Amino acid sequence: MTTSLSFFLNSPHLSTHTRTLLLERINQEKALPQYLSPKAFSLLKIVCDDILPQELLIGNTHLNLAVMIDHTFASSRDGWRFAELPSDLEAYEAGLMTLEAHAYDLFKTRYEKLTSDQRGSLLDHAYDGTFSPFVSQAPLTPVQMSLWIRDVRADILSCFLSHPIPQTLLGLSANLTGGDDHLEGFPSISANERKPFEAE
Amino acid sequence: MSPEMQHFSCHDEVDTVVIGTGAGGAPLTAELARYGRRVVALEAGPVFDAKNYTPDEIGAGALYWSHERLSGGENPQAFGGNNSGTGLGGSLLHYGAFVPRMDPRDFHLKTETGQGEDWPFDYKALLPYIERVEEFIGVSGPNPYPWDEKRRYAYPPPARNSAAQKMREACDHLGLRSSDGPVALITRGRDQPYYGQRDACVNCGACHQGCRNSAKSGADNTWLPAARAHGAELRTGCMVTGFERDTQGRISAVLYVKQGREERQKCRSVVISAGAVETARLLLHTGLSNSSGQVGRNYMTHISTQVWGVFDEETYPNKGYPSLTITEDMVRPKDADFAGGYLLQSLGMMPITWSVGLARADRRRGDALSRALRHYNKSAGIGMHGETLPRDENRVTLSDERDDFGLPKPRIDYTYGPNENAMDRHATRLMTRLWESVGAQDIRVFSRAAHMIGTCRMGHDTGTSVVNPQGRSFDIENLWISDHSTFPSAGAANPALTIMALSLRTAEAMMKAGY
Repeated sequence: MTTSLSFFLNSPHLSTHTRTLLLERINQEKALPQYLSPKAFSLLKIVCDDILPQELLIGNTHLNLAVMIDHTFASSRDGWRFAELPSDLEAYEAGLMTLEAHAYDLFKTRYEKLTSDQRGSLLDHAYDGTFSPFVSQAPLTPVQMSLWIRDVRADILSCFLSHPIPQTLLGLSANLTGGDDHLEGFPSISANERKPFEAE
Repeated sequence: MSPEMQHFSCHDEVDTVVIGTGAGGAPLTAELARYGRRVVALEAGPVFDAKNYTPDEIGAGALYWSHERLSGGENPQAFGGNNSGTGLGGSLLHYGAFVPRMDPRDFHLKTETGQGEDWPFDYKALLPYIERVEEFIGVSGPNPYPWDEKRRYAYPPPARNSAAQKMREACDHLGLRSSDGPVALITRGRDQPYYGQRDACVNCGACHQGCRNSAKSGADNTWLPAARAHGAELRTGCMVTGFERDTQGRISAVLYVKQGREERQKCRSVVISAGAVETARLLLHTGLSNSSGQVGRNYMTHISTQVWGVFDEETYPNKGYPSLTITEDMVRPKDADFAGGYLLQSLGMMPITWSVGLARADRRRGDALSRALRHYNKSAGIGMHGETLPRDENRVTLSDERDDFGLPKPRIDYTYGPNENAMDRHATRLMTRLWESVGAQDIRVFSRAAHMIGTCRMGHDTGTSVVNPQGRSFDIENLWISDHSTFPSAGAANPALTIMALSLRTAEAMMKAGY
């Protein structure tokens, strides 16, 4: 554990409950997937990196966001889904297979074999809803893909920022509202003002 | 709360069962109990300990209604953390506590413009209840309030964060009035009757994750302790699934599931306060109170588009009360090409909530998305709450899928009409100009709708309304509805204050009617 991460996790401004959640998340990120099929999972790993490369944000560390997303299927998620999509886990399987189908349709090879630009253009087609509707191997329609990819993007960013390493390295103080016995809050909330306890 | 709570037997016929303990159910529960009524409030969620709330946005998901809803239409709305709560205190546990009053003109939109719907009473009729709510729960705000000189707030506003400060500067540039907004939190400690000490706000910024020091005025630290002290029973973990009726068609008992077992509570009257989606779902599922065919119809939201920009300074969007600055100058814009209007407020935001908006806003990916994410600590937003018109096709229906209780999952179809699109364009242009005027970079628009309104309209006409102007069902004389589902129109104000005021008003009407 780096010094800054250790400083963050041991902060007296972090409650025991919050610290426990963050430590659990460190373990989750190192666990094995339990819900997605191996094929879907390996594809999701690539999609995560295509949507959110991590180097600019956290340098040499690399978080396995796919396994963090897989873990979200362990319990009820956020209380809603697009009516046009099947259940969240089914939608992930179908959405990833649809990406694969369009990779074959457009580039005659698997998603993982494509260049970065080619993969990017597939993700853009997904977002814009502009895939061909005539690819018979694609489980989801172009409209469904445009909804699903928004969920994927949200899940990727949400999982990333929920991990204590990005919170430390990006200087996020959101969790440092106060310890168990006293809610200190933030004495300085003006621009450019931060107290030493806040992450840098 | 004190350790003793009244417990009623399921076989006792209580005066009233209230379904839901949020803004719609809690004030009414307290009021009925205060006048000696025997009341049981059923809450689907658990009791939370405020001290154990966490600003961790994923961990705070425990406060959100997570029973799955299916969101359809051309503008499918997000639920869960966006608007729906669970636990004793309901959505007020995680609400933003922004409590502007509904503008008097918004009660008569149809008369004024020919569009939308009028309320069956005016602002003046609701004002005494609004003032009672503000006094009892504790609201901070400026004196005088620029858009209503007669109004007074008991607590001075909390400190301004960077977003609040920047929006004031931007409004000054464009010649708009701006002010600290009305916020349901206390800025001095207070001994809350029947609850105890509530501390002053410490600017932690985690209002949406549950207030750990009770500075935020919810139901859990105001109405519900009072209800309990006056003898109401607050029964948690109870998911209502149906009703029993007597030979006259009146409801004689409420059926619910607690810890996997079906229970029933006998009662003389029922109040449904489960919110615009769950109230409609329960009535549609049971087939009650729907002779008008209006249950579930006219579902409304607030257009809540946000415009974000990046600044040179560190703004720390998570710090301080998130949305302090308000302008009400756009409640009736002079150059409007739409009916109704909107409020603007400054926006700070917790990082994950912000990032989800960023993820959905545009297709930016790769290093461009990483760079955008890196600018969180330099970001500030402005958001709108705009009136949406009631439309027949925007509605809650029952889907073919069942939840864990065997109830049909609700489906909510929602599509903006021409009025909403025109207002959204107007507001987005203005918010963008505001941020440009103070040098914001990388300005981007998060399109979204917030709040849930309508589905059980109140009115005088039994053919077009589900309940009368006091919230009483036209079909079942001992059934009442007290929540935002009865709003005939959305107005522009965040709904919590109006819901609580209506709740007190309905309690009074119930007692006058002999309940």
